[in-house]
Amino acid sequence: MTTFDLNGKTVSVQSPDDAALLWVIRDELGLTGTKFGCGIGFCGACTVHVEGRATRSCITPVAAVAGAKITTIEGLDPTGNHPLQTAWLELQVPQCGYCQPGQIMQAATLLKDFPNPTDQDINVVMAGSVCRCMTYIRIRKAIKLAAARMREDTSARGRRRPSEVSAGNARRCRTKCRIGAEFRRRRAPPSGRARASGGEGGVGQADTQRCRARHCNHVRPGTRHANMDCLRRPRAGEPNP
Amino acid sequence: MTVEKLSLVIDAGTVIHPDSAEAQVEGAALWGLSMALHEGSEFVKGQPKDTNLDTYTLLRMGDVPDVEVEFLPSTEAPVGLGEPATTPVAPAIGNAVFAATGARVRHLPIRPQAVLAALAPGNSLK
Amino acid sequence: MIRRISIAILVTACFMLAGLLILAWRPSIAPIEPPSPSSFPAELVAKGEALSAVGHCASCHTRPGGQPFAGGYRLNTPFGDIFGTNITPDPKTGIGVWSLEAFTRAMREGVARDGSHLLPAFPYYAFTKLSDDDVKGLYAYLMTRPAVNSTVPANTLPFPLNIRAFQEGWKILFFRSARYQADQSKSADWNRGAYLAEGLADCTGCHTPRNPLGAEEMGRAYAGAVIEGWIAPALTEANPSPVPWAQEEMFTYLRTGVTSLHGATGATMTPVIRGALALPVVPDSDISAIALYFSGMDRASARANDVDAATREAVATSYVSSDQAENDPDADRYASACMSCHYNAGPTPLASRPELALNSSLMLAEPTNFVQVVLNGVTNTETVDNTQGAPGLVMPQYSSLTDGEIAGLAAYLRRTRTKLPPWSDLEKKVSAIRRDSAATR
Repeated sequence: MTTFDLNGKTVSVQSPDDAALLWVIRDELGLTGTKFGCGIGFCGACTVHVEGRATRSCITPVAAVAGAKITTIEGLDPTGNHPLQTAWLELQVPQCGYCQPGQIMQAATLLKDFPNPTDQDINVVMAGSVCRCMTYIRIRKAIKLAAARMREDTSARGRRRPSEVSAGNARRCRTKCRIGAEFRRRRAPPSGRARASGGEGGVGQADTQRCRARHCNHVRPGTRHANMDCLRRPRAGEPNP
Repeated sequence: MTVEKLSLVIDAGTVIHPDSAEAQVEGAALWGLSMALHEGSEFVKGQPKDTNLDTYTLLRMGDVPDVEVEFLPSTEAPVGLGEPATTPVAPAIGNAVFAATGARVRHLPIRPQAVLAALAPGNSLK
Repeated sequence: MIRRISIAILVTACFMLAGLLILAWRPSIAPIEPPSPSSFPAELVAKGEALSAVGHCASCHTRPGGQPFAGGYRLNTPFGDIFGTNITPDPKTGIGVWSLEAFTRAMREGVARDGSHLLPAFPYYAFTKLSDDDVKGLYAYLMTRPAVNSTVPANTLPFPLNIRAFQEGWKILFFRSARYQADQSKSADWNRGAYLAEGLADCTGCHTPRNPLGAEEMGRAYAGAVIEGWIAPALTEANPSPVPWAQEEMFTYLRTGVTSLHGATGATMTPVIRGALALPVVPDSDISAIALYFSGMDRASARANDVDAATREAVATSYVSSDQAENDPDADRYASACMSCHYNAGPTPLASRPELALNSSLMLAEPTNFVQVVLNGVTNTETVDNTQGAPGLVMPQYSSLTDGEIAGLAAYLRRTRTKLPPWSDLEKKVSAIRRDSAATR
């Protein structure tokens, strides 16, 4: 028996350990938005998020995700209004629609890693997502539209207060800039770890300029700053990153 | 072999839903391109040679060229649009190859090796 | 004549055997009443907890999915299967009736309470370096754990390896009991790191090749070794990663299990990090000291020529254009199945996008680690035998690719991501690894 978090709810499934996550989600849990395309990880129709990252569920055994957070297309946004979803509707991207949940889930991870994607970024990160109807032109346009909207959104909404950042994120945060240090200091447990990692007063302007948050998932490449999701204030109803 | 741009002009009679029509043509044209350059169904001893996408390669996001679509203005009766854009793409590419190199290719998919072979001296009748 | 010589040899052998058995004899230490947990001061238990984390005792003494320290973890060795013992304070099946003296003797000399010798799979040759206070701390910690009544399966060692007294022979050849001696020419931090790495974490236990008798090869410390079907890379400057292991990199790796310039932990290293070294109870200063020790061993600062340039170059290889893919089916498969997750736009890779050109699995002399990851994926959880990686990083299993396809992918990546000579016999190796990997499930 395997237990994991599916779209925010804890579920326990009876499928054997080596059952593909795709079939567990579709057959045992009844969420059919995720599709079967090739069964070998070459088409992307089965893409779900495991801990927020796009993963091919047709070749992921369910035991591999025990205890993890899984998000399917149904759970990408509580009201179905993720910027990708609205862009997809506005630009009328789908034709038959079969590959589109996988395309959207893959695009969501693309935009997390590359908030201002170039054509090359799109070509590469979407290379594993096949569309037999060949709606790639509109997929690309919709990705760019959603990206522009998400970028506007982030700069307009501002940063969270330290108390709004989860303790886990603050503890795990190892960024050396002033921003990361501030959150770490305010939320880390008082064991001296925060002091040891330079949280208190050990960070200066030079560090801010040289932000080396290499291991932070949200570093925007090619810039000096970390685009830290944990500090971005969420919209109403959006899950807490 | 890279296609950089595909231009299509279509006479489909009266176009009822232009946006949808454009989407159909884009999709069909890219499928035609996929068959022209990337796919290739082969049968070996009566069985399909490629049974999954690890060996059957088709057009993916990075292979998409610029696509320009134009509909001829028309007041004729509306006609079907689902597939017509697929079929002319491979011949157009074949003609383009001929115009550029003087080589004729007669099989799909058009692989670079086939073009090179067609260019070899003594193959002008191919 | 022959008869006399044979008898002489036989008699000598019997004397040697008797001598060995005499030398091997150890007294049994009387059992005690299991000490009450409240008899240990809280700071001593806390100290023991931190030490037990660095020593990753739980990783060998806990069965996957089992109770902590209750034993049953199966270690595949070339000599047979050895099962980690129950070290909870259970009086019947654990160490509940072991006095501090018995525990200390086990740690320092590899002898159990009843006088039998312990197998060197239990690294007493490392723990012998521990200070008295640290041994007391570990004792206090273990004796205050929940007692679990759990009998561990018998080891499957063939005769004569299953005769414990013969371990004395191994000890005579390879073992000396001695505390850690500080190197006065090095800093206190370095010595702390050396003490923890050599005396407690026993990194050398997996990262040093062993001779046919199972002892670490002298003079080849940290040269890398094969452990349970994976390669534990060299930790000296022979380490093949393109970017050296600077202290900061090693610190991040040991604290989180993943760095953007090296990749994620795999195989049996994962519980060492995720289940032990990364625990909050281990102070940053200890991990920092261990990182300092190994970055010195790696001669990282001397080799840190142009990390940024090396990184940029590596990142550039992660992009394969459709033209490149058109002519090479292996490149095409990489572009269709791997590139969307392994691509980086530069100049620095994201930790969640493991950069293959910086990953040691492509740089080792054998393709073992690479093939294992492709076949088995990288899981998120601690409850599966195949635990890998860092929390939240899951890679699916590409076992549906044929041996030929995986071999082709390996050859392609080796050729384009490294400047090293090609791997040999790839397809045969893939088949063998696939077979062995399935057998050990």
